[in-house]
Amino acid sequence: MTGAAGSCEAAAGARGAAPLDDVHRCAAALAALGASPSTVRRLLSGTDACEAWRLVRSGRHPADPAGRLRAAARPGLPDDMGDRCAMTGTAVLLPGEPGYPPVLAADPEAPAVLFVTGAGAPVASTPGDDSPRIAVVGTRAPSSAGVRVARAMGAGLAAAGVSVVSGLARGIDAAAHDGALQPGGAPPVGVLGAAADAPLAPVDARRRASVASAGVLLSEVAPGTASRRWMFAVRNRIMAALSQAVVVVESHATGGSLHTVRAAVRRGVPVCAVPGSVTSPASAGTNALLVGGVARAVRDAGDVLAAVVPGHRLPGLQARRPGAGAMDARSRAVLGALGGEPASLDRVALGAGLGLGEAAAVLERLADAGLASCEHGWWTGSARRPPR
Amino acid sequence: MLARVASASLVGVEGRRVDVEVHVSSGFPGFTIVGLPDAAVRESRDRVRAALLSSGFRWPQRRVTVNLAPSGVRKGGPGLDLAVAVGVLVAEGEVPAEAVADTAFVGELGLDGSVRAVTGIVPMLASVTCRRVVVPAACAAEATLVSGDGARVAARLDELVRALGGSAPWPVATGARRSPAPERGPDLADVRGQWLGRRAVEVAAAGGHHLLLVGPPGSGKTMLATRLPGLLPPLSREEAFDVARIHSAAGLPVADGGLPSRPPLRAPHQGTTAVALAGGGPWLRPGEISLAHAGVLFLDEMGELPAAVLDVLREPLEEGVVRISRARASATLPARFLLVGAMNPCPCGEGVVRGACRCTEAARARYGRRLSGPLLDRFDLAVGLQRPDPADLLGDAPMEPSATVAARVAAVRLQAAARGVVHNAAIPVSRLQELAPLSAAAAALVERRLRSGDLSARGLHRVRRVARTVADLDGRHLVEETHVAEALQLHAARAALGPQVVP
Repeated sequence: MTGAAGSCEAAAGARGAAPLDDVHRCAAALAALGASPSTVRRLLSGTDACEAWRLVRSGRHPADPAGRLRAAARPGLPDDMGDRCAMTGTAVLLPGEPGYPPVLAADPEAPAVLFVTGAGAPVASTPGDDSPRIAVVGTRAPSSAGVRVARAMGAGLAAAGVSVVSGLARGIDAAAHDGALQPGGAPPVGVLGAAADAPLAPVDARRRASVASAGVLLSEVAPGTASRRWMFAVRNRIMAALSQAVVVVESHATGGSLHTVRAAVRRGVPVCAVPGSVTSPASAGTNALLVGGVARAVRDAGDVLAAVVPGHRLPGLQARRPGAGAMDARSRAVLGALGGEPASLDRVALGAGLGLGEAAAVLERLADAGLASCEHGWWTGSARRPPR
Repeated sequence: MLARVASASLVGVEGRRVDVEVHVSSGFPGFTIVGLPDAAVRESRDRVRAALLSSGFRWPQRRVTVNLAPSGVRKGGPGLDLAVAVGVLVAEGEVPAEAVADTAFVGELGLDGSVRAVTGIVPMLASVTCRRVVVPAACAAEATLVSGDGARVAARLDELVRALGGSAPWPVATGARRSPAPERGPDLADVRGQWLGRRAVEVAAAGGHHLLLVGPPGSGKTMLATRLPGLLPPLSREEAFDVARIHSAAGLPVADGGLPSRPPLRAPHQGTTAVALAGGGPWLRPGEISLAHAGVLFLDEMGELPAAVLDVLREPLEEGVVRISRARASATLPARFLLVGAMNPCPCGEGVVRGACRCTEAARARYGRRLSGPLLDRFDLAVGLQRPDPADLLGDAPMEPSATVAARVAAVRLQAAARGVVHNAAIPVSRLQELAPLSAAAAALVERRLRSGDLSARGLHRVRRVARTVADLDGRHLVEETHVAEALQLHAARAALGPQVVP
């Protein structure tokens, strides 16, 4: 399942064919010192990577006058990085090189060294060949509705030929990629906050591998580097810089997704948000974005595309309205008692004026008709069943 | 001079008859107890000697040997003090031998000659076949349960000797332990709103289905669970005797007015240990699950209990008994209870509706896994609760009282008995087709759920049993679609706690 046409250097490098030359080994070693992205950028600005590495080793680099990085700069590090990248099939790219996304290279906070893993080539190699990319992000603790929306959003965008950019975190990020990973979709882009070979729980590692094999993984963290908290926040700017739009599906009032939104707003990248119930904490952040006028309200992939590409029409996503003609009085009463908020059986029964058993039987029939859905005993009225 | 006096000791919830033989002979003065006594029995030497001297009797300046028969079995506890003292007095001629014939003595002595209460009077007296039993005055209520008119009490050793010799009447039992437990527990009418929760406890009581309540703090889980014993039918005579026996062995007060009738409720704290739950200690004291026999075991915050503690429940849930073994003894204690578990939906407690909680998915999954699949499968009912609506709390609409619900429960239990099962939860798979026939619409609903994968084969049996109970409460023989739909909903919260075990 390789990506779209137009394979490029990144893909070739990702297959681990060519061993790294000295410049790229030294660049990888500089990235592996554990310094912040801005420090790495200063280390490499205006000098050749080999020369920069020599200066850091000697403790006389102008960007590190105190020699703080000297201790981490072991003599064998460049060779180790070369071996490690070859082993994990990781390409090391510097801004301006073929395969390094031009939009990202043009960013003032561009990663000075980019590690690319994966088979697909969704990241355009030339300035003229910018394939569409949209970031879908959100909270790690979403509501069940949020997960459904994110999955449908990922699937809809991928089916429309848009690469879904996301951070591979649990929750909304994972659901968006799960949706995008359906066969025939545009290749996904995973922007990692940690090294591409960082240990993960099995379910997350499987998803990371699926994204790598269907699309591409980007990270500015060198393979083998231990994860730090700050890495996850700073990678959000890469997602914003790479994408033509950022969609927040759900975010709590103080969520990491708001980092991405801030980075997008600074870059002039349009932000979309999915409105949620005003009583749902998982939607507090997204609703605040909408009220503040920062984001544009979207319901699904079609709304996103219409917002980003005016006049866009998404094929095959016509809303299906079930016929409400042949419904009996009890079903109407139960549907009337169901709201968007999950409700327990006794609340629904009380609202519909039915006994518990009668209400349960009507609800089971509505669920089979796709007019209601139940999760752990909590009922919501829904027009569609969750895509599986 | 030789004397023989009957007594009893306790292992688990079973009494064992012990014959105390006392031999006083010439020789170097001394006092020996043989016959595998434990530490408390060995110490009774000093208590008995002091009690005799305090009561104005002479201690024989000769060799005293006490044998506890059968001598191959270990004996524990201080309950043999009284028999040893009486035996010495008989051997010394202070009490005529015929006065202690066909009489058993159980009780602990104080150094001042007072007779003190011991635990386990009910099972101990049940094991002796004597016409007359003498027990501490404080144990009169328990002794009357077993021995009826044959029960005699003693508050002091000298009083007892006078009564045995016929020079004074037997003392009248006074100061018997009074049980503070009220006959009527909390009423279901106090639970406002919570129709689903109320229905769940009614179905649990009617069908004997184990119940899991999932809800945030303050959603009324404890309120509902504590009202469940009041819905169950009163204890039968055998059950009541078992309950009295177990509670007596554990040293809990036994009601004055006869055998208990209300099913017990035990609610061990979530800090409880495996031994406290199963029972144990050197003399195999019954644990919480045995104390809940014939009643309700309520485990609050079930997610907080360690796996080792929860594992204890598996054997009793399967077989209705718990087997415990220690170095000195092993015992099989009865433990047939209705299990009510309560837990939060997630670590923060707010996750009934998923968007309201900020637990990570990993934390939620970990919390759900605290209860093993096989244990979760024992719950026929799993119901999610939310905090009651303020309108319900403040409303003055009368709620149905326990008595009305208990009448419906009793009717369903009678029907189950007529079918030849203890309760509907115990209907064997082979008889489900015969005892819980499905209507066409109900069968269609079940089939749809089986095809969609929402229901497993094991789940099907569970749903049919619960639907049987729901239909019984509805007064129908045929199980209709509404009954099956309600049974499905009464188990819906199970899905929040991780995947089900594939049978």
